[in-house]
Amino acid sequence: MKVKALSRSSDVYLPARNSEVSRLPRNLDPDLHPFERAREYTRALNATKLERVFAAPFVGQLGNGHVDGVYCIAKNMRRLNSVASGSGDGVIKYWDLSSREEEMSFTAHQGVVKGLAVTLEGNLLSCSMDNTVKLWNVMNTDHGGGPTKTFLGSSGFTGIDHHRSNPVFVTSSNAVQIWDENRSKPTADLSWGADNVNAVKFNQTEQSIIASAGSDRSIVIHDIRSNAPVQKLVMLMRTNAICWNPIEAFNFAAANEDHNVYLYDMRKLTRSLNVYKDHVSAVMDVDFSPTGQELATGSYDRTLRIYRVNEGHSRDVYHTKRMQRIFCVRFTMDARYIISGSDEGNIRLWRADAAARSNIKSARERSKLEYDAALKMRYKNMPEIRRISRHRHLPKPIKTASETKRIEVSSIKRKEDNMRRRSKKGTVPYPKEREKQVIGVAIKETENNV
Amino acid sequence: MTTTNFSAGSLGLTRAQGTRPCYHEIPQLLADATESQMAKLDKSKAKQPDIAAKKKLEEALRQVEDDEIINSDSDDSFLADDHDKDGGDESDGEGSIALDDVDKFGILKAAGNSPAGTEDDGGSAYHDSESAEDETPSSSGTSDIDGSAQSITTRLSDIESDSPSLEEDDDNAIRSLQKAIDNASRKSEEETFKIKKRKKLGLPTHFTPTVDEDDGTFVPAKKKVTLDDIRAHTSSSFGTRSLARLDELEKRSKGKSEVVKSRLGRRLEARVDRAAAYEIAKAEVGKWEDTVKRNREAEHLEFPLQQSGGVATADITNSVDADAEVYGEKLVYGLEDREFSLDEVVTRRNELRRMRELMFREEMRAKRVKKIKSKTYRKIHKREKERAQEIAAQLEGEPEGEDEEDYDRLVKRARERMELRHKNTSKWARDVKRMNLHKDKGTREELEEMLRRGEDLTRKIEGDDDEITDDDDDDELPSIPDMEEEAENAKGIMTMKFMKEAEERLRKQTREVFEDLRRMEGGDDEIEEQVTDSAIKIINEGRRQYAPGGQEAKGLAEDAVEESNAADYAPGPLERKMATIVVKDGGISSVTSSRQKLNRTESKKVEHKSAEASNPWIQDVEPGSVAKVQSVLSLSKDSTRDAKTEARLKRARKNAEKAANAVANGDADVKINVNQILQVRDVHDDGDAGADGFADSQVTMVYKGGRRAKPAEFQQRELVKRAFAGDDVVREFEAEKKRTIEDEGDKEIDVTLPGWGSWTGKGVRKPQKKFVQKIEGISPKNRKDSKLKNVIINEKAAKRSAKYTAGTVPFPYETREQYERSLRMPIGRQWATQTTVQRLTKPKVMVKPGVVIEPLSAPFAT
Repeated sequence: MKVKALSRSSDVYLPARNSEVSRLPRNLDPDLHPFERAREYTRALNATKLERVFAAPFVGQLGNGHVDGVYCIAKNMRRLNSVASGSGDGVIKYWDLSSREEEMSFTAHQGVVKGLAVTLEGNLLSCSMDNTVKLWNVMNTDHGGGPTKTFLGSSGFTGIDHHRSNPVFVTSSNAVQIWDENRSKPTADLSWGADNVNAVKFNQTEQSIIASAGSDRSIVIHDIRSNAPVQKLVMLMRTNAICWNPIEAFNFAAANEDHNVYLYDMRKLTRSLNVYKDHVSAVMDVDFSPTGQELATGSYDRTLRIYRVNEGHSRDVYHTKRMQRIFCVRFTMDARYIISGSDEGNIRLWRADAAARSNIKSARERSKLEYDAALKMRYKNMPEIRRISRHRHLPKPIKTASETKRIEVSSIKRKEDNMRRRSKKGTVPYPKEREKQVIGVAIKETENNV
Repeated sequence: MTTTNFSAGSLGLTRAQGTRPCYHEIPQLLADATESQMAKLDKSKAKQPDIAAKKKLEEALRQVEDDEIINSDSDDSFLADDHDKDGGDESDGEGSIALDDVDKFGILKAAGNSPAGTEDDGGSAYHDSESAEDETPSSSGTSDIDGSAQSITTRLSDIESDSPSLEEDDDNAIRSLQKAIDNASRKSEEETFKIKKRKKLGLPTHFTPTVDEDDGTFVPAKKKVTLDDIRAHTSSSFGTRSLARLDELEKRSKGKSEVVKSRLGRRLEARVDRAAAYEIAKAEVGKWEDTVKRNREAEHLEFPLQQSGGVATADITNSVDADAEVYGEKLVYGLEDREFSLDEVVTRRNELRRMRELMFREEMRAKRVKKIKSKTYRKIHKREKERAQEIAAQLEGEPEGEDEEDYDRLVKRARERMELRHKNTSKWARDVKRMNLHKDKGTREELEEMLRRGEDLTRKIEGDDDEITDDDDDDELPSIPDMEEEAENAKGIMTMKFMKEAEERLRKQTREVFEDLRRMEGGDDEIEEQVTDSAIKIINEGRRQYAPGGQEAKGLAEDAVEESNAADYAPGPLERKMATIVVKDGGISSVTSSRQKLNRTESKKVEHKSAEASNPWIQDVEPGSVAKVQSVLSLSKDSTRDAKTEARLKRARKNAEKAANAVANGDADVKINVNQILQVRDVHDDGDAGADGFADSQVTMVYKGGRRAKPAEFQQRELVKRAFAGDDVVREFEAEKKRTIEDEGDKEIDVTLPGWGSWTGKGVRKPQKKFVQKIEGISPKNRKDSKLKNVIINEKAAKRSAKYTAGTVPFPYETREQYERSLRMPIGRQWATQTTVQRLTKPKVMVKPGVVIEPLSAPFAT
């Protein structure tokens, strides 16, 4: 007679390696695991709470910062840990992000350093209100000899950006000028109209396209292939900064004086793709995450906000007690940190995801975090979870300012409604939120390129 | 065909000249350059290997011949126009240079310089070259010819892209063209020879005396090297752009006032330029559209998206893997002459190792299986193998295999029929019978199985027949006479009476079905015919219910009808009730309402009304028109009554025919409405006098229980009323609201325990004190719906569940159901398998830690 016995190979339950966690056989029978939705909801709720508990966005400041306000930051697009900053007293500092220490510091200009850019070789270009653009060799730390090269302009420079693959850079002053690194004079002048140009940015993806923001409330698209400005958009208020989406060649974000950031498609400027609201003062700088999924903005209201590209309100807001007006914000090239420079001279390092930690995680921990994230995503619309995940402590001035703004906006809206009610039907249209900031574009859409 | 081809060939040449007028500025541009310089330029250009040029030309010709573009007259005229304009412009000596044209200068210069170019005969290009040949003096004509030849070659590149054309007499053209080419090549050879010679002698090769264009005289070589000399050295392939720039430089250096006329104002021009540049920039940027779309729609994005330095390593390994599986050995061979990275080599090695392992295992398995001696195992395996083969054959669709199979089946069947193996005749079966073993369950089952098998084996013919009839169905309907003949030819048992009758019945049925089919095949007119000449059809209005006609049911129905008889003329609800009773009792083959005996006058009124009122449920039939009908048959079980029914039906049919004839004759008085052909034939009819009475043309409703025919037309209102009979919605709603108000209002509950705190017995008074619990609710006045008459607002909203409910449907979802569906399936480990969990929880954006995420860059960006 054959006796049959239950037997199980040890391969099934014993881990193959010592480092592995032993697998526990489990039963997927739904009867054994009832109340799945309730349980998952609770997990999501707990995860949300934990996220808030672990949220610690501020990593630290870089060195001791500057003496004067920090008005520009440049990151090396090819390296993770090097950042340069320029301040109001003409000093440029070079930082090592890993140690958060200053690598070098030198007085570069007589006036405010308004713009920094990193060349292909990793050298630094700085521009200032003292009518000069200087090229600095940051590879060698001795700067007794001064800049490698100086470019002279006719007026104070407000911004600078470098071409991604050619030794060409663009500056903004009272004109938009293209320079060759090897020549002393600008090779082209692409200005169109504006007396003063605030910001200028090269498109990193479609590399010959430039966007500039003028003080005449305009945004101009230039093309260095045709060596000409090609399109101009005029908005209700001035644009302070521009940033191109690194993975979507035709989209750029414009930080506006009207407290909003607008996302535009350069092919169709009559309408913004998205409006990012929440700031209560002018937005001074905007930067895309290298992943192209998020935006960081620094504002005159002393807060830094992070937006998801396809949402209209910020997902997080960072502030500290001592941080003043923020003039420059940059994502690091690994999309994990944000650097902000503010009026009081400090350069701060923030986590892009407040609750994330960058330590090495075990597979189990990682899968747990992923599961939590998925649950939070799934139940994010539940009132309790929503409330907890959205709750932020805000400084009182900002709180009151936002309240005031809300009242202002609603009052404007009420007035409009009244006007609409009292006038002939259809004569007062409902302004579209994404279009109302646009006054017009220079080159109108034609039928054939719709 | 050839003519068009040739003309296409000539077209290219003409275009070489024909396009020239667009750039008529060239002569002006070079006006300051002396004629000798021009000639020199041409000559130096002629230094290019002319054999190659010739080859090129021939090739181009061939290509053009391949092209099958037929010339159009409009193009012709267009070209002619160009020529005219050309002439005019040249005589004016005016022209303007558009910046865009600069590129083309280089190409066209040669053409412009050639004397042929100055001619404006509007003829063909070879004519050009010919005339050039004629004109130029033999000693110095080389340069000119070469120039023109070159112009031909340079413009030939345009032939491929452009295809307007000019019709010419082609043979002549080709001949002369070839002549020209030959001439050119020969002379250019001479020329090169000369130059070589000079070189050998150490003389400057390109300061040779050249010919003046205009008067054909020799001009001594210049001492100075000019821009043109430099230009002369540059081959045409070097770049037309640089040549153009040279021109410009030249122009500037001469300082001569150049006629650069801008057609628009500076601003306007700039605007136009900008618009054009914007279009280009947009198009350029638009190339990213697909990438962007793909990234946006991607379920997962892993950053960095692009590995610096081209293709990601993962892709390479994947492709290697895939290939290895397919090609196995071949790949190894192919790999040898490639260099591989370490990763690739490792993956490759692993792959091979895995395959070796698999092969080894398979081998071992085969060995083991081979040793098995069990018969059952073999049998099972054999069956499996056969099945697999069958499936394979089916998949492949091999006709031969099928045939074989059929043959096998045929043989099996034949054998079965011969030996009756699976019948009760076998010894074992007989034993089973004899020993009464079939009472044992197992044995019985086996026996049954055997018989089934036998049946299966012998069934084949039937299956085939089925197939055949199926096929025939598609083609044509079989004719009835055939079947009848068949019946007459019957023998044996089929001759007996009851069998005949059954046969007859069957045939009748078949015929009806057949007729139906016919009708369906034929158009509407046929239907009409059918309807008018037969009253067998039933049309019923309103609802009809069918149920198996049993004796009990019949009885019940009759009872119901009798009841309704009593309430004969009672109109309205009562009668409706009767009708419903009938319906409820059921078991009746076809039931309509029992209002047949309604007085005629009323029914007429109803008719008139119904003609006016459109009824959504019943197809409105105009009087005089013929309705579509449907045959409803309920087969009787007792065939004895058939004869009667038949007779009755015949009568009815006759009447219907009469009526139809009347209509056909246009008898104004006779109106045929739906009722007159609304007939229910019921074979269950007991055939009493009353029923017979109804079978005339006046009363056309013939059915068993229904002694009263219902008028066909209902009034809409009545119908709706009936449909919603007993639905007193308003009152129900009011009651519900009242109930809700009471439920949600203040409540007093007497919680006094009976007997508690009191004495029992005679004369004991009940205690006054009552324990009453008051539950505060919402008073009717405070209710939200107190002023809303038709609304009930639930006041006791579940506050607890509000916490777990989203207030509104969140953004990407459109309906509540969608959103809820998205939450339905859990994603945790407890409820799903590992892979599912991983899939469901994989984050949308993953960033590789510690790596620079560079912006996207175009694969072929400069």
